[in-house]
Amino acid sequence: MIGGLSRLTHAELIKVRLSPSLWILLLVTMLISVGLTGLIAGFGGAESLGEVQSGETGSRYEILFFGATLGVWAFAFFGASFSAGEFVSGAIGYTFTATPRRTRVLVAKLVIVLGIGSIAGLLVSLINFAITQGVLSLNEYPTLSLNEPELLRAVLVFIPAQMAVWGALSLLLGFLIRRTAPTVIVLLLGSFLPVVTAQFLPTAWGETVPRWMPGAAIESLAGLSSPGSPGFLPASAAMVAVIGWLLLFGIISGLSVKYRDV
Amino acid sequence: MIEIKNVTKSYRRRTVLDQISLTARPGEVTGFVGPNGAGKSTALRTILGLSRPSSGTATILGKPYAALDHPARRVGAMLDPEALPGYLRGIDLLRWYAAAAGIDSARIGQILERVELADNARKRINSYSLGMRQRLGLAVALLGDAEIVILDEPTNGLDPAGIRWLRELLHQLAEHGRTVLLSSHLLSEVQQLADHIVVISRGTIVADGTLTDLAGEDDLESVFFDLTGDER
Repeated sequence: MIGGLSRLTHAELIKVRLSPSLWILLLVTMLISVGLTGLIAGFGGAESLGEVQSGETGSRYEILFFGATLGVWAFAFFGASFSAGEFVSGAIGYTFTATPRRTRVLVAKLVIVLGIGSIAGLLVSLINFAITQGVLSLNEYPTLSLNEPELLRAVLVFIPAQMAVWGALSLLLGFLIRRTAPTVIVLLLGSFLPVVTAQFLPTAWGETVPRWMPGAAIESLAGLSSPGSPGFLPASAAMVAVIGWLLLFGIISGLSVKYRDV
Repeated sequence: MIEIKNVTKSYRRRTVLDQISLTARPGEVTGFVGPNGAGKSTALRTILGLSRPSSGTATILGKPYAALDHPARRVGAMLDPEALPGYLRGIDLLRWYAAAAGIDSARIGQILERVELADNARKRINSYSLGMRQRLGLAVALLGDAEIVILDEPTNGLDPAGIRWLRELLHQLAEHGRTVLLSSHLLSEVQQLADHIVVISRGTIVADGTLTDLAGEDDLESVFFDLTGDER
């Protein structure tokens, strides 16, 4: 089983390695994630960065994640394209003929998206840290240090987990919806609506549901949510939430992949 | 051996296959022929597990395709050439398929020579003509040296020399005890390629036998039109 999955993952990596469209999506992800931070640092300058990082108006670490949040949604297109794209082109027929035990293909693609998302997210985190702290340092403003455990946790967890998890959810939903853009749109709406509508719904909804959404749970995992705030979950509960969402999407898409006609 | 037993396939209110049965045996080339939209591709897809029958069974060597050990090594399949990923080079497609199916990639060079695509193997599939895509699809089907070979419309885009080459290839496979099942809407080509012919029309098997069984002294084309009612 492990040997078969390893072989299949290698096969799917051939597609990733040679697909111009997937590389473009990855490049767009990196450009948005890092480019926005660069623009803010360049045009806003050290003064505005220093002001945000002082923590008077929000989290001290906020400047590290400006552009990356948008980049996460670009990576969601990567995930959706990697699954739904094959249905659009018809190539999925060859994929499922080569590997008729279809859930193995799903698992192999999932491993790849989780891996690439984690690595890309980590690179984005570190590059954004270097850009923002570099600008601040050059202008003799106080800088953050990765020796701070809280910051290290945020840098290592927040954007890598966001990219990996949203990319994975998008991949899994793509097996169900079988069209790339609609997959990302549905995922986007599904992630925002419960939070945006909370103010119009009973208090119990606003105090319960948003914190269990994947994005909020990852914020808690990364230590960016404050205890007592509406989005806060203890780390263990946040981990359960993230795994739970992946399992839910995985089971539904797995059943769809297994039983629906190609 | 490939066996379809009483397979019905319906999509909502539309029945695409209606209680069809056919057997393709080792050592012979079985031609599955019918007009466009008769259900040929749907039948082949039920054999390969890409479509689930509404009722009935489609088996290869007595088992559903997905239940075989190393299915893509035991069954070589040629699907729609238009669905081949255009961004891959021909050789990359075969490398991917070999990796995914657990087939030894050492055969790739030999197979490319056999389908006469070696000179174009390093070009992207989206630059291939239809005939080249067909040959690449055949390469995929032959890659695993499988005992069962299933080909969906293999003659599309092939010139007369290509069809003759294909005929010789298929007969070689049958002579070596392989089971070969091919589909086509072109009767003249199936006549040249197949030993055993199954005719399908509007989702129903209307004839099943050898060329002599079906046509006897008559012209096969006339027999075909009589059976299918397709005289467009």
